[in-house]
This record gives sequence, structure tokens and C-alpha cells, in this order.
Amino acid sequence: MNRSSSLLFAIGLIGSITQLSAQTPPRIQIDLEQFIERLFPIQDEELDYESIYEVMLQVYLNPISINDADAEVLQASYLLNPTQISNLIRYRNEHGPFISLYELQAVPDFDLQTIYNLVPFLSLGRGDLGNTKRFWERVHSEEQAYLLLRHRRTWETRKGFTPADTSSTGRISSRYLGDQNDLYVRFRIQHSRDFSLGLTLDKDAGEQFILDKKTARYGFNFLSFHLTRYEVGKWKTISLGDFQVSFGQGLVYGAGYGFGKGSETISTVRKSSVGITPYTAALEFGFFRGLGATYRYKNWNNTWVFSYAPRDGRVAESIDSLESSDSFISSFSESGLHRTPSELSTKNRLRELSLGSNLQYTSSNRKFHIGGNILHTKFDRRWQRTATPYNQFEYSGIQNSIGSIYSSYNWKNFYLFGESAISQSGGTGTVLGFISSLSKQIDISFLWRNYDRDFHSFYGNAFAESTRPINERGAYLGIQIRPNLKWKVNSYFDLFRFPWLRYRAYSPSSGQEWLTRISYQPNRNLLAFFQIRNEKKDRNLPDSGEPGLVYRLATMNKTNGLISLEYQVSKTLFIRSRFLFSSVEFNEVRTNGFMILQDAQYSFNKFRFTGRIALFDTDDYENRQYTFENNVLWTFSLPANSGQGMRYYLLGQYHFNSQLTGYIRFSRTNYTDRESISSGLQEISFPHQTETTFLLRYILHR
Amino acid sequence: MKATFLLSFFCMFSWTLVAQTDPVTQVHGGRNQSLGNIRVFDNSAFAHFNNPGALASYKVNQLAGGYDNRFGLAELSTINIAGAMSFGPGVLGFGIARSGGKLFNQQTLGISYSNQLGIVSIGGKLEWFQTQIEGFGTGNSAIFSLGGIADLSPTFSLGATISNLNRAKLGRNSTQRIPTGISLGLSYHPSTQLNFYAEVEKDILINPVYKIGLEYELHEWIELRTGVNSNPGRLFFGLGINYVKIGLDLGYGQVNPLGSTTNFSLTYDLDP
Repeated sequence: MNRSSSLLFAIGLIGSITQLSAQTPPRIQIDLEQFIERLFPIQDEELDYESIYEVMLQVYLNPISINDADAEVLQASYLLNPTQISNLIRYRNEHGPFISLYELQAVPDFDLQTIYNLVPFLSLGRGDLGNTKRFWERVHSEEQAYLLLRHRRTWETRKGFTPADTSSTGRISSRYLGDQNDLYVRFRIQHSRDFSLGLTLDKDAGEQFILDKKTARYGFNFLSFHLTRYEVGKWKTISLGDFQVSFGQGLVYGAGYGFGKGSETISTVRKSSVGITPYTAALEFGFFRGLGATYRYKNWNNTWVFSYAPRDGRVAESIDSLESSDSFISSFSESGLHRTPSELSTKNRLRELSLGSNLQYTSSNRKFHIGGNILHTKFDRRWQRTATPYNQFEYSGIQNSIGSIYSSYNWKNFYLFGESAISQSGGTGTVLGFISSLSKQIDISFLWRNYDRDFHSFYGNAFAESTRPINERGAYLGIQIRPNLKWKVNSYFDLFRFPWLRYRAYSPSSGQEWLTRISYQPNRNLLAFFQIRNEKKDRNLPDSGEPGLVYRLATMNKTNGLISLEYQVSKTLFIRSRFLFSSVEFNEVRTNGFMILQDAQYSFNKFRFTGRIALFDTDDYENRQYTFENNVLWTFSLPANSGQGMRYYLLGQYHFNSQLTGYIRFSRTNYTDRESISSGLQEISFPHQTETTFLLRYILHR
Repeated sequence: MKATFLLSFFCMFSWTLVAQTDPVTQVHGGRNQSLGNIRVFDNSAFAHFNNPGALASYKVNQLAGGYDNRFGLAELSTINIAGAMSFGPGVLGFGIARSGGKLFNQQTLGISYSNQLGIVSIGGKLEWFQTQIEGFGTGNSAIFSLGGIADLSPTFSLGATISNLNRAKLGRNSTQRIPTGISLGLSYHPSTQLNFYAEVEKDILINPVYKIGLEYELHEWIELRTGVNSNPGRLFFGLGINYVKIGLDLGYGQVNPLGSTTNFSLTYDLDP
């Protein structure tokens, strides 16, 4: 496609959207999976990627109102650089509100690619609310109302589902209480900037489908509900039920939102003050349950959070017999799994009361923000970790308070941001940084952070090498170079230090990480890229067995590479080939990993099929290869493959009618290097694992 | 006894751990150090040290002096003075530098000449290098270095420099050779405000070092700089202030777990 015809196509695309948005903006189908994958962090640790994915989904399923959005909201889309944000706001201030999305082409520095990427996430603004109808009538007639039903099952029997046996001591071994089916139901009605109403129900494999008041199980094991209203008089947001909060750089309110280090080296470094968002994921921790509201007065926003949520935790009894018997929480359980009597005994053992507030000022030109956060959390039992040298500065106690101030400023082509927080312990955390487009070709990002070893933030999710912002100091530098329209180079370098001991590193340690990605996209149908990333980090050497020797550290040198080629052969056929490799050097031993995969997607009539065949061969678990997999709608899949074997899946989608869409997926991994998979109750005594997923989406009114 | 201990400590430090704190192998000048030790492209008189071939490419007419300190140790600091002046098609440069403390120090004194031929500028440098260890002796050697830059387009340039081409020894009675290093670099100049540099340096004895540097002119008289080095990982930041003919360059670098480096230099532009 030559330049002029693609321009015409873009105009046509925009045209069709604006035309329809005169009534209610329909969401055009874009490949969200591919989109989010681009932003996703480098898969490294057993992180909770699902919640990040879910939040991202929320952001992209809610269009940004282009006539109303401030710099914070525009930045949160990760689609625009600081110059473009600055230009867009200036254009709006000078020329008044956008009448049509056509106008985007007139904004300086908005190229065709940017507009392509941006348009699916935009709406023209508040004008289309149709507020003439009463609230419940609007809910009743809303087109974006759907019901999702999902069933997942692993077909090989895990040990936990076999009959219990008796051990030599006569004790009956533990087994899962429930069946092998994983069920998930979601109901959602939403209208951007008006309301959102949702219900999420979840039962994991091994959990019981039971009505049991004592353990608060009503059929499904997990139940989440929210009702959120936007723009009610002076109230910007009122949310009842489960919700998340994000303000500043995430030191106090992190909301599982934010990516940190990834192949998108510039925009993802900074976090945005998104405020209150409904919580919709099926992960059973990390959200507020109660009432949250934001009140707007002129340029000021005031948010209040009130939450009283049950938490899972293991209760231990204090040994001190002189004191009255005192029970405390020794560990939190964040898995949300309640399959065995033991797991079930942790359910809702703890109540957590959170009271918090935020005050934020936005300047009239929408470029400057300043705000303050405060959050007080109180448990009904003391939380006391099992003491080890590395966690002696971690939180223990019955209540915690944390406060912070933050600011961001869009100055010329620079976007400056920062937040500084202090927790009850006196420990502080600070993030300072900027992102900037130095020229049309070069963007740069910089971030410095310093988290004390006794900085305690329960809902914090700030930029860090570790999974939480504690015990870390570091500087990150990212760059993106686009010498022309076809080539793009992304790179970052991060230098960090851990002033106190960490898990598996029993000395203060340091490390560094860098990544480079070179992408070549000669046209819209072809994308090729090469990515390499290296990390050097200290870790304990394995116990040598010699008495009297303390743990010694050695540097683990990890390299991961990826070569990818994606090609849209025709309107119906898409192919992707990928090759992943890794090497890990530790204690003078070098191990390698390797994976190669081929994807194909074919659509015709009302069908769409996606399939993958992959081979993997890794020397050990350190070389595990993470790959994104296509899954049924809005379901996240990022398995880690290690060992030797083959994995394949086939995903089918059928569009029954305008209301009903069905998805079915079959996946299987065959191992050639083992007789059984996994361990403990999860053990499968076959060298293969087969999983099916079935999903139905029913749109209520269309 | 104490002196011997210190001596061996310094020898170890200067030759194995931080091989780049001697006046021959280290990068000079506050600007280039804060660009991540970029050696090939240097628009100041310090190009005499870094890459003599750059003197004609940038038509340098300047006097410059600088100070560089590593990890807060006076024994790991360097003082330098350099100058460059145009002569017809070429540029003549000179430089003096001294590194180290009282017990162990090294100094260099040299002249260089660079000439522009079409899109290519090349230059050579001859220097006298002295190593002094108190109570042990003094070694002298002569070092020859070469360098050049080719301007491929208004935005792209390539360059290279080889220091100690003749693989000189520390002294007549020493078997130890002064490090020989080759640097290959690329410069990308997408706008008048922005310079991007990438470079790879290989010293015979150590693994290659990859370098990236970025310079941004925030204002007519303020320049912001940053750079990254691999092996070991280092991060650099710098600030340049230009007032008519006078320039002040400040630099800061961070190396884990050793600590931080600081440097500054002053330049004065001469009339051509």
C-alpha cells in the first residue's frame, strides 16, 4: 500500500468512527493482546502479570475523551510522547474542542502511525452521554452490556484429585476438596464516563462449589462486585464495591498499574494519576472493598477511600505462655487458592480496614499537577513475619500509615514527575524522573528511585527492579531512536543497588540490566524485530556444606534474546515466527535455553482460527522461556516453558450472531525429558498436560 | 612497609581494576566523560588526547583544562591541559596530563596534527609517557596514536581511533606494555540540538566496552549530557554551560559497587 492510499484508508477509518460516534461509540475490534504485549514488562519472575493485564484492559476498553483529557490521562494511554501531548493540549486551547477526529491530522507532530494507534481509544467527549434519560433507564438500554462464561480444565488428573492414601504414620494425606473444573463468570454493563456495573465470580480448579457460611463461600469461591458512577454533579467518581486507586508514581496508591522496564523504553516508565478504577480481576488481593469517591471543585480533586476487606493469612499462636494467648498472622496468602483444608483455613482470617485520602490540584492549562496522598491501614490481628535476617526491616505490626506528595509538569518537550513518601516506620521512598522527546527522532526517559529498607507500602506499585518498592536504589535511562519511518531502536540501561539483604542474597548487593530492541516495519503488514536483554544480579552461592562458612554472593549473568517476524499475508491470513534463546551463567556454570514457535491465524466468514506449534529445550528452570499465547477473549496467557518438549494450541472463534460469540481452545504440552509434571498435589503422572478453555460472550442488547 | 603495601595496592588498582585512570587510556574532558567516555567524536581541544583525528573535523581552536576524580581518592585523579590551533588546512594540538598521587603517578606530554581531506579528517599524535613509582624508579616511553572521522552525511559520521599503535612498554627495563586500544564510533545528529553517539572500544587485554552518549542543547548556553558504558556498567550525567567563548563542563558518573566519579573542565575558544 503506498503512502497516499494508506492516508485515505486512515481518513476512511476515522470517518467511519466519527460517523458512528454521533450516537454511541462502538468499540472497533483491535488486537488488544498484541497491543498490550508491546507494553508488557520483560517476563522474568513469577509476577502477577494477570492483574497488570486486567488493568490495561480497563484502560483500553474505556475510551479517552479527547476534548476533556488532561496530560495525565493522555499519558496513561502510553501512545503519545510528551511533545505530542503538549501539542494536543495547545491545539485544543487555541482552536477549541475537537469537532471531529479528522482534526488530529492538524495537530503538529501527529503522524499517521500515531493516529492509527490512537483512534481506537478515543471518543469526542462528554457530548454523547444522552443524559436526558434516567440513570437506570440508561443502564437498562446500554449497549455495552455483556455476560462472559468461561470454563477451563486440565484433563490429566493431578495428584490432588486422586483418592487419599494413608502415610506410614497412619495420617490420611491431604487432597483437594473440589473438582477439576475452573469456572469464571463475568457480567458487566458500562458506559464510558457515565457508569460501570460489574460482577465477577471465580472458582479455581480444586475448589469446592459449595454454600458454606462459615468460610464465606457462596457457590463460587471468589466474588467481586462493583458499581461505579462518573460525573454525578460535582462528583467525578463514586465507586461502591471493589475498586483500585492510582495516584502519583504509585508509592502509596499503585493499583497494579504500571509496567516499569520493558521493550517500550520511554512511556511506560512514568505512572499516571488515573484515580479510582473499578476492580474486575479475579485475583483475590490487592484491591479495596468499600466506598471510594472523588469530588471535584474547580481545579481541585479530593478523593476518599474507605475499605474493609477480608484477607487470607495463616494464623500462628504466640509461644509466650505468660501472656494471654495471642494469635497473629505469620504470612499473607496472595494466591487466592482454597483447595485443601489447609488452604481453606487461611481464608478470610484477617480483616483489613483502610482509610485514605488524596488531594490533587491541576493547573488551568492542564499541564501541571500536584497532590498529596495519605493511607492508613489497620489489621484486626498483628502481622508478624517469621524472622530471618533478610526480612528484619520488613513490616510487622497491627497498623501502618503512609503519606506522600507528588507532582508532574509538562514543560515544553519534557515531562517531569516525582513522588516522595514516608511510612510510619520513618522509612522513605522517592521516585524522580522525566521523559522527553529531544527531537522527532530521539526520545529519552530517566528515572531515579530510592526506597529505604524499612519503607512499607501495602498498595504501592512503583518502578523497581524488585517486585515491591523496598530496599532499593537505582537509576534508569531509556532511549528510543527512530531515524526514519521504518526503523526503530529502543534501549534502556538500569543500574541498581540493594542496601540490605534480600531473599536469596544474604549481603548488600548490586546489579545492572540493559535491553536493546531493533524493529523494522517497512509497511503495515510486516514487522520484524530483534531484542536482547542482559541482567547481572547477585545471588547466594549454593551451600558448600562446609561448616562455619557464611553465604557468599556470586553474580548471575542472564541473557535473553528474541527474534520475531510477523506478517499479514492477506486480509484473512496472519503468520508469526519467533525464536527465543537465553543463557545463564552462575558459579562458573553456563546453561542455555531455546524455543522456536510458529503461529498462524486464519479468518473466514464468522470463524477465526489461531494456532501455534512450539518446540522448547532448556537446560534448567533459570532458562525458562516466557511466551505470550493467544487465548479466549480477555484471558491472559503467559506460560513459562522449561525442560524439553513441544507445545501447541488451537483457538477457534465463532461469531454466532451480533450478540453471541463463542471461543474454544485446546492446548497441550508434551515433555520428552520427564515422566511426570509438577510436584506435590499438582503432580501429573504423565509426560503431557492438556488443557481446554471454553468461553461464551453474550452481549445483551445489540 | 606501609609504603610497599600502598604501592602494591596502587599498582593493582591502576592496572587491573580501573585500567582507565592513566592519561593514555582514559578519556579526557568533562564533556566526553559525561557522554559515557565517548572517545572518537570530540569537538574540544581534548580531542588531542581522545582522538587526534577529530581536531580537523571540528576545526578546533581552543585552550582547555580539566580535573577528574575517581571514587573520591586523590590518588586516582587526573589533571590535564590541552590546546589546538588551526594552521591552513590542518589543526595542530598539544596536551599535558598527569594522573596519580605522590607514590605512583603517570604523566604525558604530546603534540598532534590533524588534516581534513574531503569528507575524511585524519590525525596522528606523538607523546612522551612517564611512569613514576616512588622508591622504585621511573619509566619513559614514546607512544604513537592515530585517529580519523568520516562525515557520511550531514547527520551521520563514522570514526575510529587507535591509541598506542606502537605497543610501547612502560619503560626500557619493563616487560609490561601500555594498553593498546581501538575505538570505533558512530555519531548521529538528527537536529541542531541533539547529538547521539555509539561506540565500541576494545583494549587488547579486556573485554569490549560498549558506550552510548547523548547530548541535548536545552538552551543556547546549556547542554545536558548522559551516557552509558558496559563492562562494568556505568551511568554518566553532565552539564555544559557556554558563555561567549568560555565553556564549563561538569560530569558525574556512577559505578556499582565502587562509587562515583566526578570531573569538570574549562574551555576557552580562540579566534581562528
